[in-house]
Amino acid sequence: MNNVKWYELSGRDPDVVLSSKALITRNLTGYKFPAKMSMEEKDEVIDKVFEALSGRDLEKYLLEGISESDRSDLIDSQVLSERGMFENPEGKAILSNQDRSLSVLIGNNDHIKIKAQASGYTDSVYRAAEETAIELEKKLDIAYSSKYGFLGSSINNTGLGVKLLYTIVIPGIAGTGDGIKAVKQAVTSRDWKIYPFFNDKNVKCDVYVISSTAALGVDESMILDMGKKLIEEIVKIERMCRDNLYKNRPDILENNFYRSYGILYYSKCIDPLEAIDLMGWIRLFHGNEDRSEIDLSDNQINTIISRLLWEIFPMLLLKGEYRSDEKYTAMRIAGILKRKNGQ
Amino acid sequence: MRCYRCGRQIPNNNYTRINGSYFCNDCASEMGFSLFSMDFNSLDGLNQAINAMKELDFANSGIFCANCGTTLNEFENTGTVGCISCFNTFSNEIAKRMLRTYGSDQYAGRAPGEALDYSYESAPSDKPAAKKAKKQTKDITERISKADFGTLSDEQLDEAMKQAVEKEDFVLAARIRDEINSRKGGQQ
Repeated sequence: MNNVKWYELSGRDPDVVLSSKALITRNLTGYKFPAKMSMEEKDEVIDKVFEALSGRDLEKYLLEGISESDRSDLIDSQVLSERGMFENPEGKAILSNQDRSLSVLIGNNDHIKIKAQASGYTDSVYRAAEETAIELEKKLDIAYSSKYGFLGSSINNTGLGVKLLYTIVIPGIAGTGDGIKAVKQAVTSRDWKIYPFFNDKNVKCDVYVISSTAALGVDESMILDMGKKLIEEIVKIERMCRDNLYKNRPDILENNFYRSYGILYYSKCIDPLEAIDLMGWIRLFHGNEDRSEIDLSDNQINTIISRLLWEIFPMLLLKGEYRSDEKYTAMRIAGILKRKNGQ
Repeated sequence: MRCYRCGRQIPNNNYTRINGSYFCNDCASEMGFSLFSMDFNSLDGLNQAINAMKELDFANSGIFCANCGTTLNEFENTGTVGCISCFNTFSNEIAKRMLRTYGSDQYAGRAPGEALDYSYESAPSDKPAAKKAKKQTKDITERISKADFGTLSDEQLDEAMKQAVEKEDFVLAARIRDEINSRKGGQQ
């Protein structure tokens, strides 16, 4: 059985773009939105969506009573990521393929949320989500009006019902003067938004999310085109910033790279927040290291960062504890660093 | 600074600004704009206006969707609706909010069941990533430009010399040449 998850695969521009995601929201006619639905109605909607997608090779999970290992796997794979899905699992369900690149969340804020995700930059995540949306639109009575498009439980989810999200790692821009401010201005001027992955001042992390916001007055292709242009520009600027930092402060970058690598490689116990900070130095110098000493791929770096982000994120979301202890975190990081030939 | 109404010189900071123009306090008071000269009746008017706003708030709570019970007040505060019927019940408010948020209240996307006609880029690889090759194949000249030549072998220096000449980095080439010559001199 192939257990490789989507975030362990390669993608385009992996040195900057961690992942691409497309979210499509749909609702059924004949039912109130989930906040106003009875438990019986929620179960009916789950059954209808399960039935409509029964021809697909998707695993089914009812969130109420889900096993800890399945729950953990869905969090690691970034399928289970919304507060409501954690806090109130009753009447909610998930369909997901094996590598977790495609999932359908049922019964949270809206009846259906389709999520497609892939490593690096790609617009094909939208196509994957759209294929599932079209199948549901053909088999179920989807709420739609010619004026507002697809109707959702909030203004944000009405219209196209589409959101594109790109997670980017930009230590070069973040470490360059007003870099983040300039990028924010460029992104918001195009009706997109950019925000830190962790909206918490106590977490030092150079991971950001760029998200589309438009829902009316534009079509899906315009959003895809704009996303592509933005990513191309940001990748270019980030690489320039990294080159510039390397030219100006090579000794600092090199020293911190090797120190960080040593700590991550040999630690037997590490706090995920410390590890994510060290990974910033690894990312910044990566590509300039002596490969006869350290043989590290972008894919290994991204896999570690993804795992750390999703170790920390639920903890911050619910103000709780880490999902695993520091010993296990250190073991997982070292395990990925010790892989050979990117395997 | 002179009063816009009476033309008298206004003493320091004793002015009232109304619609971008400056007035002395006397004129502002006569015009009914000075807070200090405001009588009880005008304050009462203010109270009435505030009460009217509260009633309006209450009135918004009284407008609700017959299907799900969501009130206009709830929609205005949260931007969420409870069912599809809310889109008819609160159509004016929804249209206004759409315009404010998106600059448009007209859907322009694909119709249900129809695929988008778009030229996608290729899908990502389905195999675990290979090592990044090009950038990590280090240019020896880049490495030695900041290194101590003493740590390099004769072969590495020869290779670096060739690459420096190819790249027309003659300053580095001259340094390498000097290092090679000094080593040769040392052997003689």
